[in-house]
Amino acid sequence: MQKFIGKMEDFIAEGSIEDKVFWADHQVLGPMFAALRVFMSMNDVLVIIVGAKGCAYHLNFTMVAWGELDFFLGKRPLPVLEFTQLQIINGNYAIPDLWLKSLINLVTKSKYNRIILMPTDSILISGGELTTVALEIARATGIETTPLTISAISSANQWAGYNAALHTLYEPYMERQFTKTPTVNLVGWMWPSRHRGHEIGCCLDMLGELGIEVNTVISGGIDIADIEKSMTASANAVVCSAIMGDMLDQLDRKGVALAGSRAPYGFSGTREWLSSIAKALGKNVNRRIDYMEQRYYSAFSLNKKELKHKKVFVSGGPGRLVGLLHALNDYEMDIQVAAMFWPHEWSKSDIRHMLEQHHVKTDLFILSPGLDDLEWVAANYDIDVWLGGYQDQHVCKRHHIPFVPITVYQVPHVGFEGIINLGNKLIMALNGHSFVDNAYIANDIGGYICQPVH
Amino acid sequence: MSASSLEPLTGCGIMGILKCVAGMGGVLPMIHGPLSCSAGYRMAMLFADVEPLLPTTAIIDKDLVLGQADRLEKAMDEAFRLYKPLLLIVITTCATAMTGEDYSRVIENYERKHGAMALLLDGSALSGDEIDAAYVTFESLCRKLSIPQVPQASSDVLVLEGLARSDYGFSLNWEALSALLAKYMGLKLQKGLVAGLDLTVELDCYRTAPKLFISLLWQQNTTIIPAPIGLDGTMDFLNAVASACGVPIAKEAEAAYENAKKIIKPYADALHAAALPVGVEAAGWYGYALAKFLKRELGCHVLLSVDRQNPSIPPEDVCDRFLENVGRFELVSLMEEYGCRMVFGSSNTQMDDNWDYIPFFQPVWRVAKEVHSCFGFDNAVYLAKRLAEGVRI
Repeated sequence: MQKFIGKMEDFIAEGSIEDKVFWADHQVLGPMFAALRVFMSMNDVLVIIVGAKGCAYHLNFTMVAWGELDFFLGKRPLPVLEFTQLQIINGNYAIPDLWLKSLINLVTKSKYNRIILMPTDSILISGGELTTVALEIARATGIETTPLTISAISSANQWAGYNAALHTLYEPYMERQFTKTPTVNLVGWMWPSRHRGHEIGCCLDMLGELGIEVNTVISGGIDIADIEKSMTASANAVVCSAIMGDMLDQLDRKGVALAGSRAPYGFSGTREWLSSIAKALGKNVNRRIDYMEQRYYSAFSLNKKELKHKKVFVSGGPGRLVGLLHALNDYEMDIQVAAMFWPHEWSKSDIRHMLEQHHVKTDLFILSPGLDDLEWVAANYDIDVWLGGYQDQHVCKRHHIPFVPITVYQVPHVGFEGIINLGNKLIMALNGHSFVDNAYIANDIGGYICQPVH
Repeated sequence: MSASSLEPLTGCGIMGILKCVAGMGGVLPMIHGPLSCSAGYRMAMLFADVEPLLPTTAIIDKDLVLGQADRLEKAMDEAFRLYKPLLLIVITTCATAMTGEDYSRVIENYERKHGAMALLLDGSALSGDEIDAAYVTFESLCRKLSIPQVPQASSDVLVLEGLARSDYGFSLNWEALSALLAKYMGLKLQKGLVAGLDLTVELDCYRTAPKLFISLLWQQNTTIIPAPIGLDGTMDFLNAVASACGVPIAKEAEAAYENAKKIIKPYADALHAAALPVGVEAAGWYGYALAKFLKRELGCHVLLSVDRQNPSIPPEDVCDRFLENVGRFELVSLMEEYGCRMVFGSSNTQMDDNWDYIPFFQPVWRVAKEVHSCFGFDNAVYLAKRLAEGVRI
């Protein structure tokens, strides 16, 4: 596991990250979850776990418990083609006839256009490969079937999974030429919802107000065919920067410019994101961005009066943390400790950007925090309010620190409205509100939206 | 998992181990394997409503080439430095178990260096699934903690071992069992290992207490102790405990049974007439008992899916359609085909547009409006009323 504890300025230096063997992680998910999230939120893709059934058990829980109701995922199948370890060691990947019959029965009830086979660790470790299994399933179902070559052991965080999934989706189109349109793809929203009250709805609404057409949302709620359509966009912008990967760089070289590479948090981050997209599409929308920002300015100013100089802990994934730093910096809060759940290849440049362009200051920066680190921070820092992962609630309760969860919530934290929502929540927490209903459900608030006056 | 099934109900060995130890005081479980295994199975701590402290050695593919013993030893040292557990449980995964590396030296070194206990448990698919792992975990804990399999002395206390803190509705079920045993047998229910026993203070009392096995460990007994669900089921439970412990049942039990039978009759009559199709998704101990109540006492048509079949109970005695280890979307589809109008199960089976739902089995992630234990006479009456009125026969 990649670990760093020290000054943010030192984190961006060469060789700052160490490999550690013990991690009391409480927040990071693995590469299988990441890949599953990309595919399972699509309308016409069926993922099959091949090997150990346990992976399907917990992956299904993590996906469905999170998104079933809140983000309209609903219930979706996640079949398992189980092989015992002995079968795997012997390379015996014969598919039982009855299982195949059940699968055919399942796929005839829904319109699937792609099946993805996701191997579990034993298969990859034993050097097994699933091409023959894929061929047999494709022959039986008539559906194109693709095996992935990542499993749990491929990485200690999500990134390899996102990257592998994007490669699988885009590879068929990389050698083809597409006529570009002045549109942008929003990459990294992995739920079917387009609801205005959710983050994707906020992003779509902001771009709509600026007259910027969204081509495709990648990948929640779309079909396989939409991936091909997305190749006609002029730019990709991330909604969740965790998904940043070399596929987006490759697409950039193919003419889909990578714009808005950090998610739109805070006044400063939202402005950067919108301006970057507009620039990639050759549009000048600065006055419209000003108008949008001004609508939220009085609410922002009121919140800022209460939050300025308050001592805050903040954590998040490689995308969300950078975004939250934007928001807290805009409020001129005193960021005591910032913790990044896991890093990707762009993390150092994102943090450098925050240091150099936005002059963010923190006393301590932690990469790959464990529960032991959080306990230490809570005991050794004087934190007024804690902005962190949902399970940080236990540390905060022990130390009586007001807590706002940033991993289980519904109202947007992005956009100009997002900083108001975040500010409202921080103030509510400081005034004693508990956002933690039970182990699963956030006691969230209603969102704040200022529509334009026509 | 049957050859035709697409979606199993159960997880792998890691789940079984964690269902046993989640919330056990003085114990730190640690995953020796990839991060995904600890990340995914942190849910067991959520089931037990405790902080999801489940450290991992977070190995990745290239680490395996070099061997993992040294890495594990360092990680265990760090675990002791930070948390000083009385017992550190190292759980191997498919990746680390498959390499066949021997970690016995690492365990011995740890115990010698720190004067604390460590236990290595195989959570991989090599060792079976969560059902097998629960039994292995319990037996390993007994050996490690020098717990006699046969209690040394009988007393007025009883441990119902296997009722896990990670079970759905644990607190309510604990209260209901305590009340039943106290009221009708004069027995005090004492906490079992998997009910979140604190090894640092409660172990001595636990060692000497008589034990019967239920829930996660229900097939450990030579004679089954059924779950006290339904009127007959509650009497069967009391009789089984009485027979195993040699403690008589108070006369008030029979009176309570007869009284409840009178109250339940109109609901049971209505339900018999309606032949209500009901789905049950559950662990075996709970599932068989609930299905039997629904079918035998209330006349419902029952589709039952349990984690593992108990060979001593013919499925036709308790249900009309029996499934072993079928869950999630596949089970929901089968329940739809069966025409279920009421379903007891995990949130995986909650379909508000299709049927009335009662949370009964983990994982339950949606907030339930009302949650009752299903144990005992009064709750049998409540369930019958709820079924009869809830689905508006």
